Amino acid sequence: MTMVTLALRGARHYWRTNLAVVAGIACAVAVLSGALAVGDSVRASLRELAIGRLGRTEFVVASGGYVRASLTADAADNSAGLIVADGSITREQGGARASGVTVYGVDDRFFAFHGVDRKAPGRADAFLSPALADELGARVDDVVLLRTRKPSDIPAEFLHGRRDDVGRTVRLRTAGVLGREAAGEFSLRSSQGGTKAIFVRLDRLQRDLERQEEINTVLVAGSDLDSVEERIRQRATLADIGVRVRPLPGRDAIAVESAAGLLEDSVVTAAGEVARELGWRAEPMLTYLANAIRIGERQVPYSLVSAIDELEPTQPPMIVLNAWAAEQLNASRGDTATLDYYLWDSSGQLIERTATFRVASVVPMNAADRDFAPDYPGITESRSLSDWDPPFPLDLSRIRPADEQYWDQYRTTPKAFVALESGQELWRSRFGQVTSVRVSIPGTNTNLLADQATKFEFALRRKLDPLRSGLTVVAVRQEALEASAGATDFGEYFSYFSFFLVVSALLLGALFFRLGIEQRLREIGALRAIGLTIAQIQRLFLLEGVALAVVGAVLGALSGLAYASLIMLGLRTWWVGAVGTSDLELHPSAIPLAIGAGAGIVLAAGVIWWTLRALRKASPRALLGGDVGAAFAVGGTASPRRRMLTAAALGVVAGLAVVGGATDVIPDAAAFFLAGALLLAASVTAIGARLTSPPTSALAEPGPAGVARLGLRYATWRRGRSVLAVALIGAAVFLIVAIEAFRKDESAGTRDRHSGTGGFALVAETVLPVFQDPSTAEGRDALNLQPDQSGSAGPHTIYRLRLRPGDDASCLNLYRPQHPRVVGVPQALADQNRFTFARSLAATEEERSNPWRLLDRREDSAAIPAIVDATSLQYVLHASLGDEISFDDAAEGEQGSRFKIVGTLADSVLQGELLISEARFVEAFPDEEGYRFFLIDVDGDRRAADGVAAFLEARLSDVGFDAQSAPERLVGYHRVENTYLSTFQALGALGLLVGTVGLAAIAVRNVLERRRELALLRAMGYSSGDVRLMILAETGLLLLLGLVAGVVCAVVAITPALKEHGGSARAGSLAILLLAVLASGVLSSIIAARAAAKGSLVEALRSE
Amino acid sequence: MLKATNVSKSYPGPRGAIEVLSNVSLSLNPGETASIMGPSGSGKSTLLYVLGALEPPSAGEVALDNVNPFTLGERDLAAFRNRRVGFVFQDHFLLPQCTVLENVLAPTLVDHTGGNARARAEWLIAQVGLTDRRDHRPAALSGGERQRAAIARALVRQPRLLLCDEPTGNLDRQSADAVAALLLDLQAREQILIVVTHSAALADRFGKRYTLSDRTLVPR
Repeated sequence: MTMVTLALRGARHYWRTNLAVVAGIACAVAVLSGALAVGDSVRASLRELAIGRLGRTEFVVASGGYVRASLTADAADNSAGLIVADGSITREQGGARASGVTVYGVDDRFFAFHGVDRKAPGRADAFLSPALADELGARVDDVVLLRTRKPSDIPAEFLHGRRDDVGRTVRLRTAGVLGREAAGEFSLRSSQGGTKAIFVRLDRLQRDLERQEEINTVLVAGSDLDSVEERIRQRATLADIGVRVRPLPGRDAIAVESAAGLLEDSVVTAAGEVARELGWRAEPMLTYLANAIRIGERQVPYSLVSAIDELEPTQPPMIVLNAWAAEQLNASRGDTATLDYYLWDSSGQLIERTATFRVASVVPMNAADRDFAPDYPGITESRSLSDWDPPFPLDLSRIRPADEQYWDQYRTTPKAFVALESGQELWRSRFGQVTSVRVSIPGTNTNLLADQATKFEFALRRKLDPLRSGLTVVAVRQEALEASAGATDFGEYFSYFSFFLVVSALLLGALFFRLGIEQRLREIGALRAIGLTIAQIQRLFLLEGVALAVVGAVLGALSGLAYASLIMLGLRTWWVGAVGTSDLELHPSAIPLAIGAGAGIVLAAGVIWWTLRALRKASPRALLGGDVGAAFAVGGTASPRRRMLTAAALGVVAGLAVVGGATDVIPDAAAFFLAGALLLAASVTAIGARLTSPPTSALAEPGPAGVARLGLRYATWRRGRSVLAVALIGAAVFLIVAIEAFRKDESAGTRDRHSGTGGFALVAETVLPVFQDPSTAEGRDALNLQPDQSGSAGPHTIYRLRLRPGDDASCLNLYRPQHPRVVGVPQALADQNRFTFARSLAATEEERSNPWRLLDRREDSAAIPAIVDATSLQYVLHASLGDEISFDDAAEGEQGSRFKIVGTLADSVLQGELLISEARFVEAFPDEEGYRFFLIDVDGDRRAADGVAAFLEARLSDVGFDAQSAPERLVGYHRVENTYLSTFQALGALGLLVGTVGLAAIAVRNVLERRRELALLRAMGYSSGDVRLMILAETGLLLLLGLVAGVVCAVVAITPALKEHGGSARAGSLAILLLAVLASGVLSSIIAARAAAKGSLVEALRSE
Repeated sequence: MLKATNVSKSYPGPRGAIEVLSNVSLSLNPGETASIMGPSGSGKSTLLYVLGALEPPSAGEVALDNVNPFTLGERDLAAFRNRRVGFVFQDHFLLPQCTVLENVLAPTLVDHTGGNARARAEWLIAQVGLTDRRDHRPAALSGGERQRAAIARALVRQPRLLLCDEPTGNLDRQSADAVAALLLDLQAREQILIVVTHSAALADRFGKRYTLSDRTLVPR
């Protein structure tokens, strides 16, 4: 016989009690390992989904514009080139429409790249992804109309950019629906929702978009980032980054120009450096169109004016006229000349401005040439001035025969010149401030010029890094893996919420273990009597306890797998609304189970040791007498006052945790759980102290009240058990109430301007940018938004916001956003101070009165001030107020995407995006043109809003306008958040189950131990009803204390978070909760009362 | 008057019924005291439980003041025990979570008829010499003190029948004498007192003395 044998014998002999201990530990391990397994499985599922959608793609070479199709082979050996664009699809039959569709222009190599045995669709055909086919209800041979943006090199918000015809419609036949295995769900962006994609033949799309032999995306596999970047650096051409070098025969010069019409500063600098290195002279210039050059009453319409480096800036600014213009204007040196010109203001309005110059001199006609201006579509190629087709208003009546003659003879030759600095002050835009760099080559001739241009082009290309000039290589697979870590870490949150359940289950296990020890006091006494030391006995029981913990841990790990499997099933079915995909599968892994089991064993051993420590001072006589009170007297030595002080100290620390959470010193979630746990501990300790205190009044009151009070007094008898019961119930109630309080209203949204909708009735987005302002009469006219004749669309106001597309930062996205959507908020909207701020960095009275003004701050760090929804910031972006967050996706010309969070919105409809000021948006993202995000006020009710939505969607179908009810969108977010809460609340329900089992076990155990006393009471004349009343009073008290402790702690712990995120607990749900808790108490009492009624009175009186 | 007529009591056993009492008859008038002796397992306590309406006889009849408690319903039976019977056990069975005063008052909680319970409880506590211990819990009392508290509790409802099962069994001689004296002192004129004991010295202090032998009660 060894100690181990003895321990194992004990474990086997008392198997009934030990079964309960094992069950408690198994429950704790199951919950813990299950929670970890859920987190693991969600991550693995998301990873699988994202990687599956990428197919074999590891890297993507992307361009802001279009590049040579041959860059595909230049980038890597295993690559495929394609066009990727946003679009909307309308099914011709029935008119079903889907927006937010990704358009892929692919050839056979796309499918070969992914190892799919399939050819590209025919020229008139398209393949649809399953999600798109579902949404459209499309079948094979259905006709669909694809609407997508027609790319333009010239920015639409530049004077020469086209805004009126930005889209193309392509009519296609549905040739089939591509399944996941056939790359039908191919997506470069991680999202768990269905992929809405259409696959069109590449050459067809190139033709329709007027981009022959061009692509905008290259997929790469089987390489590494450095190699791909190196090959791009080596092989990309100037054309790939939108720069061209043009020899100017007869002018002994070459011109460096941009397809966009404006050169980026880096190109201008590089061109100057190359010219210097070659001993040539580079002259940057900015050529702009003046609507009129006026001197006195005379004017010359529609003239190009060049701002050149050769002229020194002066004050007042000088202008040099060519001979023709001087003659037309009858100009003399010193005359005052004015220039009228168009400009796009920051809100996208074309406005006419005037600048005044002093005539400095007149130069001959050969001082300049027509190549001073780059090619402007609609102008350069026109045969006459009257044929001009510029993207801005032109008053043909102002054109005179002399102007036509000038055009015939000199075309785009500038009529006037100003200093470069003066011109740039007037005409620079976010797209650049130089239209071309003219490089003069001394001593050259026409024969040499072509070679010299090539030489210059080569040198300029070497000087420029394509990866800083528009081309990017993105490690999409790596990004997908990072994004799969998840915005919402289910494992983390399940573990957090499981904490109380794990503790409860362990406490329950410890309770049963202790009850087992109490049963065996005489055995312990006998062991002491035969010479074992208390330490040896403790080790013996610890051994037995660890054996039970190991069995419990193994069972728990297996149950954890089943539990995780159940949760995953729930996420795929009952809670699919929250996760938005049914692709989440259990991915069994030994690690979470081992962690759960290991933690369970360690914790259980600790709790058992804690229980056994009480035996230290037990006397053999007390043990042999089976006197539980005497044997465990060590636990009751602390005075009520000391206990109260401990409770107060715990309360203070909990308060600090609450404050820490409120001030962002501690993360909200950690603060919430820390404060909750400490508050519960404080409450339970205080209750323990109260139960320790002597009664303040005697039981003199006769009748049921007196009987009940006698029952209440029983709660003080085995104080430890009572406190444990309170803790178990309190923990469960805490969890349920806390989670319930975060539940949000799903019934209806509000139109209050300070509500989550900001008072807006509709939120809308377009596939193509809108440049016109629908809030002005001209804009509405241009957009065909004249009042609806049918009257179905009532009065409404549209606010347009700039949008940088990206990853959804709302709770709808399970992936961690790598490049969140950014919205530019116009000043006019910010001034209205809509929505409610949860918190902000407002420091001045002005900022406090309208925290939107924080968006205008200029931070030292150059980070862009941003406002984010509080929930998104915490749970999706995992950042806090005041944090600076950056996303490494800044393209060339962009300021970079570093944001400082200056404010958070409480429970808003703008969960999916970062909000910055429009002015900063334009600076930071110059390439994002127009407006694609709209907030709409509607006068009237929900029906009026529906009418307006239908009206706008019909009138703006060309830009893929898609409107959604703002209250509905908010309610949608609420529904998802509530579904998350339901998953966590299921843990609370489990906790309640554990609490009920604990309470029942304690009640039954107490009753069994008091059978003789209860029998005596029966002998005294207490009826069985009286005994039931006593038991009910006792369990009721414990229940009530647990309930109050749980509710109070929950309210205190969640108040800061609730203030920030909002919430609206449902009275009905709380009533159900209270009823459930009450039912658990009654159930425990009934079980206990039945146990008390078992056997005869005499047996009870006789039994020892 | 307590009258037991041909009371028999048997329990089911593995080889048929085991008879503990057989045709036991007993009659005691108010004010009378009696002791019952007998070897362990002779059925003394069983007889006491039958007389105290805790356990019905297998045969025969028990009546206290002409009321057969076993004809009463559960609620009335409980009320009968509360008002008419007082018990003192060898193990005091005090409620550990209650003070001495509360223990004494415990029977009055279910039926408060019969005067000022608190005053009587305090009087009884004074009578048993525990005034200075009235706010102590049982754990703080000696064995003798606990038994005296149990006696006070048994008498608080002024029962017609006071049944004591080995009341001094766990006490030293000095405490046992004190408890016996107390029982006799506190017994009112209208009360019937029956004590089951192993102690001949104690048994001799009561008016009628019986021995339970061969399942039958015989005068000693």
